[in-house]
Amino acid sequence: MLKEYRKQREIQIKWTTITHLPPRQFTLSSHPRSAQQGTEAGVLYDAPHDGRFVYELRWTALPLKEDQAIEWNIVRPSDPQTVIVAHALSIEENDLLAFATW
Amino acid sequence: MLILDRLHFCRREAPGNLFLQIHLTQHSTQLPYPGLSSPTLDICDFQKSTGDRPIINLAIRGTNLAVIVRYASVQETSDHPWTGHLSVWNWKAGVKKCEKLDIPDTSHNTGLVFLREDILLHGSSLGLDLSLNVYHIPMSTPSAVACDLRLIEQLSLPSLKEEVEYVNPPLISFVNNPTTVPSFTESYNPKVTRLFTTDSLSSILVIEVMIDKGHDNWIYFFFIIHYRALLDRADRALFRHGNGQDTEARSVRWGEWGPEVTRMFWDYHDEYSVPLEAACRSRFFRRDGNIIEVYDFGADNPSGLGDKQRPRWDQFNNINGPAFPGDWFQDNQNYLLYFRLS
Repeated sequence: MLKEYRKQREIQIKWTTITHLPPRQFTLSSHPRSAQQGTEAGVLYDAPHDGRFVYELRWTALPLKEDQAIEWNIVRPSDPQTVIVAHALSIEENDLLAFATW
Repeated sequence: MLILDRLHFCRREAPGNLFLQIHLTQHSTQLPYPGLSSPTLDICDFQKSTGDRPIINLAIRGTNLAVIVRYASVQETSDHPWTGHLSVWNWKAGVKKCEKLDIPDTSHNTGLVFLREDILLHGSSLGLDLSLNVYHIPMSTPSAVACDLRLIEQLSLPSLKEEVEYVNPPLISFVNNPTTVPSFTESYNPKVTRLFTTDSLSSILVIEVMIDKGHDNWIYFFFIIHYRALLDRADRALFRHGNGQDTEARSVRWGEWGPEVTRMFWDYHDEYSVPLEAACRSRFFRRDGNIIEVYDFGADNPSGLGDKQRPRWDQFNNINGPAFPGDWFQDNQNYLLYFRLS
């Protein structure tokens, strides 16, 4: 499932923190990693985008088995018109997900 | 300055302006974080012009939340067409603790990482000069007005040669393992452990410098260093500031601090062959296709002292790129941090 999801979304799974940014309009760089995922404490994050903007964050616990089904938790801003432009995790220390919106 | 006309650290309801908020969510429940006076932080208001939006990045450690807002300067110059505002908030109290305004940059660098709850690292570039800016964050929250975020040291990375050609200026980011960075509590009580934090200060920080060669080709340089090495430097800088020996941030040349405690790798690829890198504790992982390489920076040699017989730089196994580090940097020195390739 994870492979399939990755293929569908053309994402890469990278064990890193969210220091890279979700894609945004008029970003100067066409860096191939501009759509980043991150993890802390075995949690995988994804910031799906419509080619320009990110409107929600998704996360799931990392699967233990290859064929394990994945259920994504979804976080959206209360105002659906706002765009998510950055996010950071402090799960173990604070049980905190912070995300920034315009 | 024209810059300040566009960014305001208070809410202005002008139509069409961008208003930056940070939403604080309890991860386990997906609900607004409990016990806060407000689950959102109002950061700033930005007067949007055609064609550009600010770039944002966040970092969290303990009660400190750092946010950088990086945007194209109105008055563009060839030296620093980007400017940035860096602020640190006590997210639990909902107040801004300190800030640094108008940080110039050649590129849209937004890389942030906490070395400790009171020490923040930010990568920046001015022309061909790349550096790590080390900031100190006060422990207490100011009662009235936020104070200046204090720059205590600037650590230079190797400078690029003038003849280096790139499409966009270099970008500095961090491939760090957030769970290995201690908070104040853990720093003073190191027996406190969490899932991934048994020996946090022996962990490595990976500093990534990305250079866009155009046509979907990128050169990456990875500078690997122990958190401990950077924290020791920061503590010494803090001591000098505390006793009045230093009144301003020192700029430290790369050759004075870097080669002894870092190892540099480089990588080259196009958009169709992007490898994955990760760090966990003292290990750096790199996956390319079906091959996973594990570089261990500490198991055999926790001191981090290097082997002077090793080559100046290391190239990942399957690289077939056009560049060689000696062609890129002005400072070609031996990189001495020890590692073992598993």
